[in-house]
Amino acid sequence: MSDDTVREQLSSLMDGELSTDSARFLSKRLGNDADLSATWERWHCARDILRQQGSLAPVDFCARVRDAIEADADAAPSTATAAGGMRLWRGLAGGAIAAGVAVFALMLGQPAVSPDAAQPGEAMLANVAPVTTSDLTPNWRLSPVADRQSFVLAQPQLSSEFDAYFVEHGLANGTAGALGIVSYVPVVATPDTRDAAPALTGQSAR
Amino acid sequence: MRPVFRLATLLLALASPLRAQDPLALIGAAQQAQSARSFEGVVVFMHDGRFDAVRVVHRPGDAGYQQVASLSGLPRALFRDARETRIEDAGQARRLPSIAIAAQAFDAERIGDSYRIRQSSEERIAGFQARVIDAVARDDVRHSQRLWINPDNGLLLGVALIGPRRETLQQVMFTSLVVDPRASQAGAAVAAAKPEAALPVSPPPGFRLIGERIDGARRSLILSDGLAMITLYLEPRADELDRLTTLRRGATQLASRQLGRQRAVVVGEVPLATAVDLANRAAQALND
Repeated sequence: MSDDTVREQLSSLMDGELSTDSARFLSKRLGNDADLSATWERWHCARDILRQQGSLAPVDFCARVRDAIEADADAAPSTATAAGGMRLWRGLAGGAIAAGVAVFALMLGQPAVSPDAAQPGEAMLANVAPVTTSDLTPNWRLSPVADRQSFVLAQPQLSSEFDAYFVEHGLANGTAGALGIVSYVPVVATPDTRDAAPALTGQSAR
Repeated sequence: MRPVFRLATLLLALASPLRAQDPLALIGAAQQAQSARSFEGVVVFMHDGRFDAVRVVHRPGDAGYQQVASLSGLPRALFRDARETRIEDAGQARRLPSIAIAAQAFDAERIGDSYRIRQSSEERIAGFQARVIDAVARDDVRHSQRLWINPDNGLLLGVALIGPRRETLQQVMFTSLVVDPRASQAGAAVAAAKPEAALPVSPPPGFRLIGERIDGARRSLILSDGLAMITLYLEPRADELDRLTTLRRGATQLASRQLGRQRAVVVGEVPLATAVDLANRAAQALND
């Protein structure tokens, strides 16, 4: 069996598209073929990163775990049977990986796939900032006017009372002000006193 | 700079003030143009989260007049000539004697004490080129202002009052404008007499009394810092109260403080704190 064929089968196994018998055969080979096992691990790490599943473990995380297991095995106190023990641990580790792959292959090989797993929506797109209304607003020369209003401490009855003061000030401003006739504009554009911002009034007894 | 060169520079500036590069000279030219240029147009007035369209007609000179009429919202019109000012609302008209104030608010010598004047850019307003001049307040006693002035005829094409957080409090801007190219000579002279009246209270920093009007028992004192204006009304009242009232229309703040039977009302395009402080101190002074 060529390497390309094996890699295709490995890819099919990851996608859950390999038959049960082929999956069993390939899992057995994964337990004995270190290169193929490393390829399997790299593909899984890459897929998890693309799907942003869990914490982003380093690409060689699986290899590090295996090396750590091997290091523990090397540091075991049974010096008399060190070589045999190491072979034993390696055999156990290989068997565990093969068993894990076999279980995974069998799970993927099941014909009944949950609807959630069948959803292709796990692929993540890059986050795109939503378009806001400000993006569509033309850059006008006229600046917006602040619309903050005075807050109310008591209901006013004073707007009409003070309207004459605004008018007289506007007239004086138009006569002597630096801005000339423009200063008259607020006088005629004064809103209806019924709709004007209410006065803020504080009162206390003397 | 040698005195000869300084004098030559001054003469050049006086000879062609409208073309002067100095932003301060341009503001002065804008005020002079108000009394020399005949024009009419439509301005947009943005305030209080809304905007109004207002038609403006200006005819300078001894027989001159000004007409200002709202084109949106409630109908209201103002007609002013040398004799009287008439304000017409729907179904009623008010007649007031036209206020004559000898001194002008604009004072090129003092404006720099309260504002940093700088020219920022050039823009096109109502078909006219406009130089944008910023008068940035040096303190929080007053608002900053942005002026759009045409360098050819000196007309003020727009003005915006800017708050402490650089927000636009109100803005007036021409959207259409027709200017008579002939300049009138009649209204160019401006009386420079200063009022001798005494203020009962110290004005806000940078402000100075430029006019006074007495109407019965009420005194109207007009203060200016060279650009912005405040009117301080002092009047006796029949009722006895201890009351502070504030009201705002656009960037114009009103603060009324009554103590006992004396009331001080401050109206001006200044921050609320400035208006309230002056009203409080004036009312207290009336009772002392």
